[in-house]
Amino acid sequence: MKEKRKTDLIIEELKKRKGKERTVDVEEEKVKVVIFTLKDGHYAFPGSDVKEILPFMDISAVPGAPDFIPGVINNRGDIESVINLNRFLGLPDSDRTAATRIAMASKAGVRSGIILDSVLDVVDVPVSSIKPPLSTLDDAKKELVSGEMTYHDGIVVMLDIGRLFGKLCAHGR
Amino acid sequence: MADDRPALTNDIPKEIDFLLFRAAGASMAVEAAQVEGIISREQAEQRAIKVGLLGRLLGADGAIVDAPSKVLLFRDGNETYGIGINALDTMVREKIGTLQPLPELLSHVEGLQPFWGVLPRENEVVLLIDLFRLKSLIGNQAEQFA
Repeated sequence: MKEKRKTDLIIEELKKRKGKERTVDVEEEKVKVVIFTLKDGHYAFPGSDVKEILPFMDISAVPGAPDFIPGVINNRGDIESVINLNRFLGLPDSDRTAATRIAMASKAGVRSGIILDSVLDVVDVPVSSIKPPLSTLDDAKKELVSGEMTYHDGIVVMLDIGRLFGKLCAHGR
Repeated sequence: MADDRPALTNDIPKEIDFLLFRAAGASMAVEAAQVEGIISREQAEQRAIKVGLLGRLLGADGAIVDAPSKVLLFRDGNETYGIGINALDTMVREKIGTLQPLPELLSHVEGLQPFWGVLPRENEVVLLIDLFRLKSLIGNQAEQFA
């Protein structure tokens, strides 16, 4: 058997390891999430449902709209509704700051802006890192929560935009 | 005599004249053709016209103060109705293509049916209101100014 140089052996070993890492990467399905803050904690939306993140802008009031829809915005000529998620989750209203953002979300043919206190990160996380929600959540949140994950040692609550829009449409009728 | 009125499907104009005004804390517009006249609240009082206050008709919360200074008049059959507004803004002619439907979530809200669309303007969003869709509400909640 022909002897190999030491460096060739090391390179072969490194390539094998790299190959294994790639295999792991392929097998570990990931999902993009938008992590944000709201009054009492950290939340996330699936990145696939968030089309755009806008700076906070003037909201035109619509008289007669429910209190969790404070009005509409003019997003480069497109008029979109805006949701105050705090009201829907039973949280006190947040102050508007320089960090306040409006996430433009779209799901099942419905499109709307959602006011966020701040956007912390947009990251790819392994699907396996998203655990089922705790049963101790209060009812207002439980219906909208699809799971929980950790982010920088803290808990992030994953919200389901489809369920949110579904509830809003049903509430309006 | 032949009926030469255009069929409904051919009756969509390329442009619409809107009367812009402020009421119930929002910027609104009504097709000018729907408005028969504009009078002061005192004149509406004297003529005993049924006047609806938009904030109340739409079920807006108490934060919106209806203190109308003018009344838009519109006629349905023999009956004249009025809508109280805070201030008259301007009149504009808009191409149909510039109008947009009410956002999906709002179109589901009970009571917002009088709003049939929105008009984006440079610094604001104008709600398009159909006075005839408000008529039934006025019939039930009409009041005289105090």
